[in-house]
Amino acid sequence: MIEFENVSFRYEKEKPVLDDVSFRISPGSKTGLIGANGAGKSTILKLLCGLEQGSGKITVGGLPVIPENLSAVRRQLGFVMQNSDQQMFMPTVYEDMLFAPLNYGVSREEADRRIDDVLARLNITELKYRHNHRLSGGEKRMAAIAVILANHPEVILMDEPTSALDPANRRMMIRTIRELPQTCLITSHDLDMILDTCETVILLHAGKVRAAGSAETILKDRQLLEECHLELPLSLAGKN
Amino acid sequence: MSRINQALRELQSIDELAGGGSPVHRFSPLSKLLVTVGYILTVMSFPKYALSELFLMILYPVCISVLSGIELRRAVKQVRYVLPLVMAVGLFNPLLDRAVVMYLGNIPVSGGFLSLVSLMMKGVFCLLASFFLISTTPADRLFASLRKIHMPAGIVTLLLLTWRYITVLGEEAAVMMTAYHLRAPEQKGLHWRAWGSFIGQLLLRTMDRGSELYESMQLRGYQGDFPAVRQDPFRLKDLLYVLGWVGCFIVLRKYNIAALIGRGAGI
Repeated sequence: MIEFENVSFRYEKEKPVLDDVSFRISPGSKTGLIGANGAGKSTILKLLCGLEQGSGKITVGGLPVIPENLSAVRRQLGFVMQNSDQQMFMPTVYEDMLFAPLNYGVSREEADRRIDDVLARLNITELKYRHNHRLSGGEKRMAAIAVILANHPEVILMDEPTSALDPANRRMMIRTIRELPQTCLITSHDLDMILDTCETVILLHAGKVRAAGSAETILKDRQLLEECHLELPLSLAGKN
Repeated sequence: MSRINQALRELQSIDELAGGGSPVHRFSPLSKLLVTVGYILTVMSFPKYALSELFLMILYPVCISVLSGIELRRAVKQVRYVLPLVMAVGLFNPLLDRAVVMYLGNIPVSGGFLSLVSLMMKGVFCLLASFFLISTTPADRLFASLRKIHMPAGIVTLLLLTWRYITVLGEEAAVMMTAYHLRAPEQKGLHWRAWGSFIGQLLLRTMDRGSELYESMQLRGYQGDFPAVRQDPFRLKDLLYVLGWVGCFIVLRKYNIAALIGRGAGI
C-alpha cells in the first residue's frame, strides 16, 4: 500500500532530515511512526502527500508520488493534521466535510449521504451544523477525522492525534482509530496510544529507520527506545 | 478580554447570525446584495441639506431588523467603531459653510451643520444596511453570488480567502497581544517601539498559518474553486424582493414623503 525506497530529504543546505529511508506498509494495517523530536516523522507524512519532494521512490497504492500523480495520490489519502485549526477552514463542520468530495467530483447528494454516515459512525451527528470556532478541542479533533473520512480515503495519515486531548477524549480517539478499517500511519509521542492502536511500528532516529516490526516487540525494548531518546510506554514501564 | 479578541468574537457572531432562518435570510444573496447596493446609492444621492427626505430612508434598516429578528440596537452597536471616522469626514463643514439655511424656532442653523448631520446620517444608514447584509447572508454565499453577475472567478476566490484571512490575522494578533500584555502588564496598548517587530511577527505567523491552511486545501483537492459554497438560485421571489425595495427607494428619493405627510396634516 505504502512503500518508501531509499528516500532521502533535506531542507536547503541543512543536515538531511531523512537519510536513505525504506519501509513498506501493508494494506489495512495500522502502523505507528515514532521517534524523538526532529527524527523526521512529520517529514515522512509530508513526503507521502507530495507536500515536500525528496530523492528516492515513494508509492501509494502502486502510484509513484510524483507531481503528475499528485491528484490521484491525494485522493487516496486523508491527512489528519496535528492542529485541527489548520485543517478546518470552512465556517461549519458540514461545509468542511463537503469540501473534498465536491472537489473530487462527488455529487452533492452522495456527499450528503457520506457525511451523515460518517457523523453517525463517529457518533458526532450533533456537530454537523456547528461552527468550527465553537468546537472544543476534543470535538474539533473528532470533526477533523470526520472531514477526512467523508472523502473515503484508503489511507489515513495522522500527525499526533492525541496531543492536547484530555483523558476521556484521548480514550475516545483511541477507540475511533481502532475501529477505522483503513490503512493508518500514525505519528505520535504517545507510545501508549501507539501500543493500543498499532500492530506495527517504525522507529526513526536521526533521519534513519532504526527498527521496524511488531509494536509490542519494539515498544518493550527499553534499551532500543532509550538509545533513540524515547522511554517505555507508561503501561509497560512498571513491568520491565 | 482584549479588544482584538472582542472584535474577533463579534466577527464570529456575525457569521453565526448569517446562518439564521428568518424570511430575510431565505432570500438569495444576490437579491440582498442588489438591494443593499441600490439603498447605498439612493442614500448617497440625497442633496446635502435634504434631512427630512433622507431621514425616511431609515425605514429599510428598520424593516430588515424586524423581518430578520436582528435588533436594530445590536446593529448600531456593531457599527460604532466606524462612527468616529464618519464624523471626522464632515467635521469641518460647520466651519466652512456658515450660511444660515433655516431656523429651528429662533435658532439659526448653518448649512455646514446641516450637511454634517446629513453626512453622519448617510454614513450610519449605509453601515447599517451593510451590517444587515452580512448578518443575514453567509459571507461565502454572498461572494459566490458575485459569480452570477459575471465577476471573474479569481476575484471571487480572492474575496473568499481574504475573508478567511481576516480571522487568521485576528486570531494570531490576539495571541500575540495576550503574550505581550502578560510580559508588559503596566503597558496600555502596544508601545510604539514594539510596533515594527509586532507587525513583522504577525505577518510571518499569519503567512505560516496561511500556508498550512493552503496545504490542507490542496490535500483535499482544491483547484482554485470552492464548490462546497452553495450557489443559490435567483428565483421569482428574489426578483420581486429586489423590485419592491428598489421601487420604494425611488419613491422615497423622488418625493418628499415627510413634507407630503406634514402638508396633509396641516403642519
